[in-house]
Amino acid sequence: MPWVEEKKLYPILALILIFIMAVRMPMDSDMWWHLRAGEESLAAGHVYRIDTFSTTRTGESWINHSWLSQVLMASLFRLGDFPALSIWVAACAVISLGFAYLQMKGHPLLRVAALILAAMVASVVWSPRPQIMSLVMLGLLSWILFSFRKQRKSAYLLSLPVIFALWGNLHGGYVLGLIYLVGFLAGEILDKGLFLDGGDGLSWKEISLVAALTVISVFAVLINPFGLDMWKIPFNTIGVETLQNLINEWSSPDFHQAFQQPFLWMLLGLLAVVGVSGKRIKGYRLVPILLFAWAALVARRNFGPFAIISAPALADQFQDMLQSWIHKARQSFSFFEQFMQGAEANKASFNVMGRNLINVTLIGLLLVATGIKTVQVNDPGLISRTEREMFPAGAVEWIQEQNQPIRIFNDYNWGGYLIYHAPEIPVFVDGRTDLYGDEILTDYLDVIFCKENWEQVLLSYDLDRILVRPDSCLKRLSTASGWKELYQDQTSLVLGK
Amino acid sequence: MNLKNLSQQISKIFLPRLGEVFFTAVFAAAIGLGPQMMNVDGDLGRHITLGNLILETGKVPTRDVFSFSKIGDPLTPHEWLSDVFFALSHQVAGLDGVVWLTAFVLALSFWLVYRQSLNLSNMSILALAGAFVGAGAASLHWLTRPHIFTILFTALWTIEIEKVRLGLKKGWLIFPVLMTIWANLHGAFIAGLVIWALVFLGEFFEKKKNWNQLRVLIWIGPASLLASLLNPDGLGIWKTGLGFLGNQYLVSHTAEYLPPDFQNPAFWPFLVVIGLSILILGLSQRRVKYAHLFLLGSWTAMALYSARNIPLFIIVAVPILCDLAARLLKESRGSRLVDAFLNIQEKIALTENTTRGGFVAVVSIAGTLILLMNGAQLDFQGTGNNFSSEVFPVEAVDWLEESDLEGNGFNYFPWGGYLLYRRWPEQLVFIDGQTDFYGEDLTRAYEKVITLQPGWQQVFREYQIKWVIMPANSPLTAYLDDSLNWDLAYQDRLTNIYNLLEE
Repeated sequence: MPWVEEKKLYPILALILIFIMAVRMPMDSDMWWHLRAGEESLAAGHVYRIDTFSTTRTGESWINHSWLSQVLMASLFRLGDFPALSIWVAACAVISLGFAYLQMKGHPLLRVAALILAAMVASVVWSPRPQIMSLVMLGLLSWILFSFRKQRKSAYLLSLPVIFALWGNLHGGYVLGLIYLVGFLAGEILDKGLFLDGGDGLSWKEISLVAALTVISVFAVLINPFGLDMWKIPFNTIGVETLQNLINEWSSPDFHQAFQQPFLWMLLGLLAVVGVSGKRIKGYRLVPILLFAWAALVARRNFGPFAIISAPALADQFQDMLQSWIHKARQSFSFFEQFMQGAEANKASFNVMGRNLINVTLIGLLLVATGIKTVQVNDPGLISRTEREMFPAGAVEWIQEQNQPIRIFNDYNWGGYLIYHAPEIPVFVDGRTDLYGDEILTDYLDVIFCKENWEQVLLSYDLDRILVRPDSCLKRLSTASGWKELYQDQTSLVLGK
Repeated sequence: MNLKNLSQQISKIFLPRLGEVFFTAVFAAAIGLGPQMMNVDGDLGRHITLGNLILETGKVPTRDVFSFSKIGDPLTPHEWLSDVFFALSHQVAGLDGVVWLTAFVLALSFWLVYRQSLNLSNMSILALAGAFVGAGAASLHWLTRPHIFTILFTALWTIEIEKVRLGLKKGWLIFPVLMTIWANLHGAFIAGLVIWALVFLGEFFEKKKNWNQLRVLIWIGPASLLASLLNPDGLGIWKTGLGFLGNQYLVSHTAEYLPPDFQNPAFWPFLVVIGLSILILGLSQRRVKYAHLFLLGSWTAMALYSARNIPLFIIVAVPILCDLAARLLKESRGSRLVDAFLNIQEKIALTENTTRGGFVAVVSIAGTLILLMNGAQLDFQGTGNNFSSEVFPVEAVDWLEESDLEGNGFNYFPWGGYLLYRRWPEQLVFIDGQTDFYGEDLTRAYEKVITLQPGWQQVFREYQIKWVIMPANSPLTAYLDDSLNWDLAYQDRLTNIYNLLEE
């Protein structure tokens, strides 16, 4: 018996590979304000909930639905700087997909193939933000329900309210879990209604139990510093109509871009293997897949949840399809039967010592690669250069040198950076779209896209500085209206009255 | 003949069948949406103008006559036959005629989808529901443009090729005939060859092969490929089509090639069809025919890649999904809901068999044309089928006709077709909607100007631009307003026209 069995070797290698994929430079426009909010909460000893970061909403209460993740992020950042954040993101990616792996059946290689595809799909949303915690929680939830369904132990279900109470404090994405539960129940009922449950569907009593715990979980979400307000969060966020104009991840997928295409491959792959295998997907899997495919097509930030939910079904159907093909091929072609027998004999006769050596070497090599990538992406010089390319680091330093009180109009993607690096400069807008709402965001869009009323908007907020990219249309229009270029580098431009 | 028999005969003729009700509903909806179908897209003016030119001269121009930026350059007239149809309908009944023609082609196309769904599923309720959802999903591309003929020909092509696949058709000559017409109607005739390749591949993979069927199938592709060359530009039609599709810049700058935006509720019916595909395939307990699987998968991908492929996806996918859904329902007999549905279906099928139908459809087609020709406004908005002054520079062009502006005018891209409709041959355009002809260089030059990128003034100098017609609220007009070299010669709610002052 080798030290690392084949069925364990493949997933270990795959999960290390996923870690390598996910360990990235922690550089995201929203990361900064999450870190600052986390630090404010840690410093004050209570949850940060009254806005002090902006000119537009200052003093107003803010439903800080991700406070627990922010505290975690700030603590990690204090503890281990950028490397800690990048390792946290990669670990969350691995854990979320690890739960998906545990729900797959069949040959480990097939499971790993489905897992890697899922990782490619989900990788679009792996970033140092609280939403990564929603992926972990969704993976955990789906594994718990899978285990309950398989083992029929009600104890699994008792953890649901606990999960939702935690999730409600980690991220507003807890609603994904509720969608999953509704899909799970709808799928079981669909199977029963169409007489398609194949004898292993849940009983009505079990369905009722899941339904009851779903209702309790909805209430468990309320155990948080904002109470009932936490229920509003999904509606507040989705209700912001300007969201998709402002944030790419809220817009519909664009498959002209190669990095978004793995979702398409996974969706089509699923349709193909289902069509060819001739075996149906159980309702408890099918309906959530349907719901999350829908969600992913509406907003690509849902690629991750879709990947986690769909990967087990993809692997299982793939297994069924290949099994039937191999069975037919063995019956139809004698050379194939001989080949398969030969392969099995070779495998059995292969030296255990040799297998140990190869397996351990493979794992070792990948661990070395993991270390190299982690060090590379967290190189301080590289981080500093990237920060200056992505964010207005030079402009912020220049503004701070001037040491004047200013009211600034800033690029949406730079709000978080300003909040973290120049807390003395209140921002016009940042990634907290639920706080700003359509009113402020529409004004922002009118200015940034140089609509006719751009100058009136700036006047109405009494703003005297503009911080935008150098190629902004504001550069050409504002100079004609009496604004002056005060500072410019390759990344940013400061205009002043 | 007694009274009962007479009444039966009358009802047999006058009572519509489900398919006819569907045809009439789609036709009526398209007539009602006439102004929208005309005004969403800016190219109709160009199509009518080119069609009129062909009818007047009896020749299909193979060099540009519409723009000053590329005048005389070789042009592939891949939509000339559609343009002739649009021009003919325009000559008969003006813009009402164009809307009527479009409504008829669309209704016929989706009726064919209904028929094919019914043929495969043998369940009229499913076929009707599928065709309605499909027509809704495709309604985004209910536009007065040559694409409607591709929708119709895809439906015809799919039906015929399915007959071959099922062994119901032994000959293949209809395919090159269809392809010859299609290739002269619209550049997306390539869709027919894609469908053929997918069906052929699918049948080839089937374990139980019908070699006679495959022999027929194999001829369809090469014969149709050769037939596609029977057009005024021969091989050029392929070069233009593939050249355009291979140009990432042009594709990503052409609105209809962009992927569907599911935040827009107009795309939700398409999302419903995708959802149904997942649900029906997921529940299906039988292996799907490879040909159907390839068609479904490939067209799903193509529709998600470019919204303009949604109608073609619908035409291909809806009958397949109806077939699979019907099988699923039959397998689920015993469920109370399913049994109730199947009973209703049987009763409807019996009623359908007692009617011949046709009367309502013929009356609605002819009646609508007569009403439109007599000035009736049948659209939902009650505005009549006109170019909207909210979308096109109608009043500005009235002013242009009276003005003494001379020389080359730089125009807003979506208004090129309308300017040609109103002003050609007196005035030529800088650019219009025929992106495959204008190419990347000119489109980039246009983009440079409207976004005021460095060097935009050089474009004006190169093309000796003397006046500009642009939407009022645009960066270029904001700049020209402040410029001392340009005079605001005309302004309304939609349009600004600037005249270059002597330097």
